[in-house]
Amino acid sequence: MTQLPIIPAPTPTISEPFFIDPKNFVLSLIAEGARLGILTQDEFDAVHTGILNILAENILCISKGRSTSVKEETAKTLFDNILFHIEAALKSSGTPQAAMNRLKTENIHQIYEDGRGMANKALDEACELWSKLNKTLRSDMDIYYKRLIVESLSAYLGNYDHKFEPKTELEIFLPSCGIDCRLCGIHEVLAAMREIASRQSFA
Amino acid sequence: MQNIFSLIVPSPNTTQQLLLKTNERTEKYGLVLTEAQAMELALTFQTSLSENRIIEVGCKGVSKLLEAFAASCYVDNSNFADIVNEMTEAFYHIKRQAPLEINDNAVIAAMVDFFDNISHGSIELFFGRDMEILIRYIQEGKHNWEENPHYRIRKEDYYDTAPDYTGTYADDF
Repeated sequence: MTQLPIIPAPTPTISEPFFIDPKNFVLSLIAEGARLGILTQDEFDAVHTGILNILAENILCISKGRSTSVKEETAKTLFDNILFHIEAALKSSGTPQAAMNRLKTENIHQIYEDGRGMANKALDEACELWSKLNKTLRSDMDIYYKRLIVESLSAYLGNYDHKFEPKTELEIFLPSCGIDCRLCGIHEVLAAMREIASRQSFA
Repeated sequence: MQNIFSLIVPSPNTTQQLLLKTNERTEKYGLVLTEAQAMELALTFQTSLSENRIIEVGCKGVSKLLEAFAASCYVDNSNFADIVNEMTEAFYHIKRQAPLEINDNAVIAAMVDFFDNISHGSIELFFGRDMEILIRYIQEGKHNWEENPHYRIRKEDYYDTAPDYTGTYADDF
């Protein structure tokens, strides 16, 4: 009688496909990590607790240390901002697998700080690019949509708060789309500015 | 989302232990919470947060309320726990309607001032009559007595600023 071979249960590996919700990148990555067993219970708890600790710090920070409580909607905004920075840092890893690996091996607070640093750097880069782009666009201000770009980017970069409102949206005309686009946060805005800069002759 | 936020708030047991530590600072007024009273207050705290959709880091707000109301001349051991329970509900109700940058210490100081000098130690008057005026003061930024001493409530000022309550106050004063 032939014995059936014993097939070991598949060990979850980091190369398994993830079902990542692009609108909810960080939370779905964490959930997938837990579901597939890639994140151990301790790692999952550390990520969870880490995010809550960052939220607690942000609550104290936004009230300048004068209050330990905020309205739930304020907490939700702060929470979304935290996820925005974590998402930017994780996405810079290249692939969801690499992002998952960072979640497993790095402190979530450090990932968050990396994300904030990236937003800060992107803002500096955007401002620098803006100073060059501004001159070119202003040389032909009679074109209506160029004027719109100048006005909206000036206001956006002048008021951008990478600390508490990094997800601030910008509605801007993009020549590649031919329509107004809604950009969320400094990273998308910087990408759009690069595109505008590369198409300076679009008029 | 709400579940995630609720994890910031310590459990009732942890809150109870943290509140019992406040006894060290209130016993100079001869006021201490029993374990049962601390647990009741911990549950009131959680209910108040939930009802008013407020997220709090730790439970410093209630600890500060305990210390502040312990100094009130209308509070003694027979009513300490009840008053702080009621004031915890009031505090988070007020916080819900206050601006974001509100200073907890100033709100609590204003609550004690209203309770002592306007409501004269009556929880019923505080809730039924005076709290809405206090909320209005806070929304208008008139509650921070230290920064705005000229706003400090005097009976005649309050009388003027609360026309809806003129009839009631005519008897009280």
